[in-house]
Amino acid sequence: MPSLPSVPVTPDPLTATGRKPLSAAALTASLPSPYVYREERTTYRTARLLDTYDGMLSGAQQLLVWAGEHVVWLEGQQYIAGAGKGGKTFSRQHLNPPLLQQKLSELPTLRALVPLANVDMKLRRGRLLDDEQKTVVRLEILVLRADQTFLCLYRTEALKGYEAAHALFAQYLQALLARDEPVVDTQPVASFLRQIQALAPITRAAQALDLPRPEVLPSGAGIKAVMLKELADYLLNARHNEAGIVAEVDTECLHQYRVNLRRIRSLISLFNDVLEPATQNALGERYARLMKPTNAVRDLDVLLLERKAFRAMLPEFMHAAFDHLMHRLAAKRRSAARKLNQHLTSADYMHTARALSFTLCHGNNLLSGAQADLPVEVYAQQVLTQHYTRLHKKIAVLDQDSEPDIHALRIRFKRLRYCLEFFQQVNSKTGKAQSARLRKLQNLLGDFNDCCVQIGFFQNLLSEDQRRKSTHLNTGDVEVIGALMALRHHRKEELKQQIRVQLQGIKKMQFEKSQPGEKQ
Amino acid sequence: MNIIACYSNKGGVGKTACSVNLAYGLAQQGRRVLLCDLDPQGASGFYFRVKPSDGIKLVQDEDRFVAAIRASDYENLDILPANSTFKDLDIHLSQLKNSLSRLKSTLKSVKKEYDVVILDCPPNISLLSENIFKAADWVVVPVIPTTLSERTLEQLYAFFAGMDFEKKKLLPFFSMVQQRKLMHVETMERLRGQYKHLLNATIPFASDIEKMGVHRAPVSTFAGSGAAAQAFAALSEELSRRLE
Repeated sequence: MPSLPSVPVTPDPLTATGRKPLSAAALTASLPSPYVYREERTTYRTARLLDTYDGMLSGAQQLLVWAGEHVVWLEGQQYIAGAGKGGKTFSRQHLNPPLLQQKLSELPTLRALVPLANVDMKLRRGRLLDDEQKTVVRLEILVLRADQTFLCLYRTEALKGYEAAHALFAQYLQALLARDEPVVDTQPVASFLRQIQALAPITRAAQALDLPRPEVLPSGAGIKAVMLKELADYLLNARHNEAGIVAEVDTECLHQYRVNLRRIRSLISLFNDVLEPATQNALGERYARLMKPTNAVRDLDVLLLERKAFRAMLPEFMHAAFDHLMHRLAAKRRSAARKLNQHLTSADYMHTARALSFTLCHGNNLLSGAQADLPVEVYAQQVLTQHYTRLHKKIAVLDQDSEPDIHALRIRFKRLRYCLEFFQQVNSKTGKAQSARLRKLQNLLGDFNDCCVQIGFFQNLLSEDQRRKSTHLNTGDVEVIGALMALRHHRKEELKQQIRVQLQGIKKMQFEKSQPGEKQ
Repeated sequence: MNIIACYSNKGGVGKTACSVNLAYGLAQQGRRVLLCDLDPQGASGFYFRVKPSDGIKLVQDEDRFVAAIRASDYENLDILPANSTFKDLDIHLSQLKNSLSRLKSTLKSVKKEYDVVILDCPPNISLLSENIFKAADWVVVPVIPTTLSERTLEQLYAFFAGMDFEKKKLLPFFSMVQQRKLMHVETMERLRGQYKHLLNATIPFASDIEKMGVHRAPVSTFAGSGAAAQAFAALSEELSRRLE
C-alpha cells in the first residue's frame, strides 16, 4: 500500500464537513473547461483517535489520528499528515515533518495519549489539470469514519502561478459542498468528536483509573462498618494506580493514588468517636506515612503540567532561561520518580500496604469508639452539622487578608466536602446543593493553595541551592524563578479577591434531614 | 543562491536535457530550484508542461519576472517559462545601462526564494550570453566528444579569456556519449588530459532522454533505473558538492 508522504503544512484553506465525502465522479462532473480532475491515489488505514485521559485535545478541538507509521494532526485550519516510528504503541518521538514533532512536544509528557476511538482513515489525493495535463491545483481529502459518522477535510493547494485556477476550483468545490449540505454545520470537528464520544467512551489512562463505584450500603448500617468498608475501597482505588505510577503511564495515576489516600486520612480524622481515639490516631499516622514519599513527585508534576501556561506568562527574553529551568526540573522529576518507583515496588511497601488493607477488611479488630454503632444517617446529620457550624464560625471570624486563615478555611471546606461525598454514598441527596456551592469555593481555595505551594517550592529551590553552596542554578534560572514567584504572588492576590466575593455570596446552608431507611 | 548556467554555443548537445534533469535532481535533494528557460524555443517549459509566459521584458521588469514563475509538478522546483519575446533580449539589453549585469540583478530579486537557479541558455554568443557568464557561479557545458564540439569548447575558453571571465566557472561534461564509438572514447581521453575541470559524470546517448519529449517529464520520473537517469543523478551529485 502506498505510504503517506509527509505533506507540508500550508496556509491553504481547509474545509471540514460532517457529510460523506464527494466522490471523484462528483468532483469531475461539472468542472469548467479546459480543466480535468484526476484522482491519484487513495490510502486506507485503520486508525485511532488519541487523546489524554481528560480529553485535552478534544476540548481544544484538536485531533490526533494514529495509524501505525502514519500520524495526522488537525488543529483549526491546519492539518499535518506525517510519519512516525510505528510500532504497537504511539511514540511522540521521531515524528516527521518537524512541525508535527513540535505540536506533539507541546503536549505535557506527563500525560499519556490513549485511544479515544477507532476510525477508518482514508486519504485521497487528486489534481486539477489544464489542457497541457499540467497540475494547477492539488486536492487532498482526508476522511475519518467511525460507523456512520464522518469527518471530511478538504484541502486545496495553490501552485505558484496558478492562483486563478485555484480560486476557480475552490469556488467550485464550495458550491458542490453547499449543494450537498444545504444546512452547514459550522463546527464539524466538534460534532464529530461528540458523536465519536457517544459511540466509544474515552478510555482511561490505565484500567486502574476506571474503578467501580463503591457499593451502595444498606441504610441502618452502623457508621463504623460503613466507614471501614469505604476506606477499604479507597485503599483499593489507590493501589490500583500503583502500576500506572510505576509504569509512568500518566501523572493522573499518582494524583488519584494521593486523592484516595487523602480521603482515607481525612475521614479517619473527621469521624470522631467511631474508632477509639488512640486507634484513630495510629491509623491516621500510618496513612500519612504512606503518602509522604509521593510529595516530591507530585509537586514537580503540578509545576511541569503548567509549563506551557507559565512560559506564556513570562516575557520572551526569559523563555530560554525558563526552558533551561524546566529541563532541570524535569530531570529532578525523573530522579524523584525513580525513587518513588523503587519505594512502591519495595518489599517494605508491599508489606505495609497489605497490612493496611487487612486492617480495614477486618475492622472488628479495631477498637470501637463511643458512636461506632450509630446508624449512618444519624451520624451523618451530626457530623455534617458539626462541620458546617465550625465552617461558619470560621467564616465569621476570618481575616480575609491572612493567608494562614485562608488555609485554615480551605482545610475546613475540604473536611466538610469529604464528609458530604462520603455520606452521599449512602444517600445521594445528602447536601447536594451545598456540595455544588462548596466545590466552587473549594476550587478557588485549592488554586490559592497551589500558588502558595508553588511559591514555597521555588523558595526551597533557591534556598536549597544556597545551602549546598552549589552552582546548580545559574543567573538565568534565578531570574526565572524570581519572575515565576512574582507571578504566583500576583495570582494569589487575584484569588484572594475572588474568594472574598464567594464568601460574601455564601448563604446559611441547611442540611435536609434524612430519615433512616429513606430511599436514595 | 547559486546560479548554474547550462550553456553551449552549439545546438543539439543536450543543454535542455541537462537543465531539466539537473533541476529535478537538485530539487529532489531538497534544494529550492528555479529553472529559467532563456531559449525562445521554450523546450524546458515544454518538458514541464508549463505554457509560455506572457510577453515579459525579462531584464527590465522584475515584478513581472516574478509573476511569470510557475510551480512545476515536482516539489521544490519552479519554472520560468520562455516566451517569444526572449528572442529580442539582446536588443533590450543593449538599450540598458549596465547591460552586462542586468540578468544578475534581475535574478537577485528571487535570492531569498531559491537555493539554485538554473539557466537553460540559447545556443549563441551574444550580449545575453555575456550576462549569463557574468551572473552564473558555474557554467556547465555539455560536450559531445567529437571534433566540432571540441572546437566549440576551445572557442568558449578563448572567449572567457578575452572577456576576462573566470575560467574556473566553466564545468564541461561529456554528453550524448556512445562508448562503442572509438572516436568518442579517444576524444574523451584527450580532453580529460587538457581540461582539468571536466566533470566526471558522463551522459550517455540514450533513448530514454529522447522519450522525455513523449512523457514531458524528467528521465528519473519514468525511467529511474536506466543509465541516463543514473548519469543525471551522478551529475547532480557532482555539482551539488560545489554549491554553497
